[in-house]
Amino acid sequence: MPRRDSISNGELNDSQFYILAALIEPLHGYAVMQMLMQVDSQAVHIGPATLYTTLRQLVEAGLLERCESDGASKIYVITAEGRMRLINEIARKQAMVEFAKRALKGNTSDEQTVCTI
Amino acid sequence: MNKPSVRYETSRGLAFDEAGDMQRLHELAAEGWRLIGFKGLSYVLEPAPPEQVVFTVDYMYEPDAEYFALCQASGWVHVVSMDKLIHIFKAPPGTPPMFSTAEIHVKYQRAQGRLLRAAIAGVAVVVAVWWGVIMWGRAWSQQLEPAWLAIVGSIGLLGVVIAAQTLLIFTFTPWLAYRIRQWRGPGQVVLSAIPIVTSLLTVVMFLWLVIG
Repeated sequence: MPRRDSISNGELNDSQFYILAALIEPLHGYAVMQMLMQVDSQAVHIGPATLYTTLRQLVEAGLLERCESDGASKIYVITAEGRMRLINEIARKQAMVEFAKRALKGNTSDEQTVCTI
Repeated sequence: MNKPSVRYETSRGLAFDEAGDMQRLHELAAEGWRLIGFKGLSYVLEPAPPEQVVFTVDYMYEPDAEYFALCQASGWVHVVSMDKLIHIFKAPPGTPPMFSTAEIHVKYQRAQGRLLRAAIAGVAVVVAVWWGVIMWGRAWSQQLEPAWLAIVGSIGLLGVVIAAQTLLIFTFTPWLAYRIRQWRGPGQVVLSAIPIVTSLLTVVMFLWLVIG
C-alpha cells in the first residue's frame, strides 16, 4: 500500500528525524550529509536525492527554514515548531524502546519461543 | 574498423525495466560509449574512452542547482536529463545509492508526475473508441453489401481499435508500472497481461462484428 506522508500524520520517519536533529545549528545540505555519515552507517544512509526531497518536505511543513542562500548551497535551520516536533518524536521513540525493553526483560533467551496454545 | 560517430540504444522502458537500462548503460560505458542524450525511445551515445561506472535514474521536476550539487558531492555526476523530469547520473561502482531504501517509494511517486493525466486520457480514448466501434460499427457492417465489404469494414474498425490501444503503451502502462513500483519498490515490472487481455478482447470484438 502507498505510504502516507508521515509529517502530516504527526510522526517523523527516520530520514526526517535525523535531518531535523542535524539542523539544530544552521548547516548547508552537504554538511548535513557529512554529519550523518559519521553516524553508524548500519543505522542510517541518507542519499542526496532523499536529503534534497526531505529538506524540501520539512521546509514546506514549517519544521525547517532556509537562512540564506549561497548559490547552490542553501543553509537550513530547525524552526520552533520543528524543535517541538523533534522533542515529541524523541519521547514517542523512547516510549517504544522502553516498551520493547520491558517485553524482553522477562525473556533473555536467544532461542525462539515455542508457540504453544 | 572505426566506430560510428553516434549510436542509438533502444530503451526497454524506464518504467518497466529501469535496472536493465542502467545495466546496459554500464556495459556500453565499459565498451567506450558515452551517453549524450535521448532520441525518441532510444539513448544516444558517442564514442569515448571506456570507463567503469554505474548509472542511476531519478525523477524530479525542474530541480534547482542544490539538487545537482548534493548529488555531485555524493559522487553522482549528472549525465543527461529529459523533459526536466528524468535525470540520469553516473558514479564509480560502490557509491552509496542516491535514495535511502526506506524512501524509495517517493522516487516512483514523483515519476508518475503528469503521467496520471495522460493515463486517464489514454484509457478514455480507448474506451470511447471501443464504445463507438461496438455501437456504430456493428450496425454499419450489417447494412453493407456484399459480405466482403462488411468484412473489410470490420478489419478497418479493428485497425482503429488497435491504434487506440497503442496509446495505452505510452500512457496507462508506464503510469501503472510506476504505481506498482511505489508499492513494491525497485525491480522489473512485467505488465504483459495488459496487451494479452486487450488483444483477446479485440479478437472477441472482431469476431462479434464479423459474425454479428
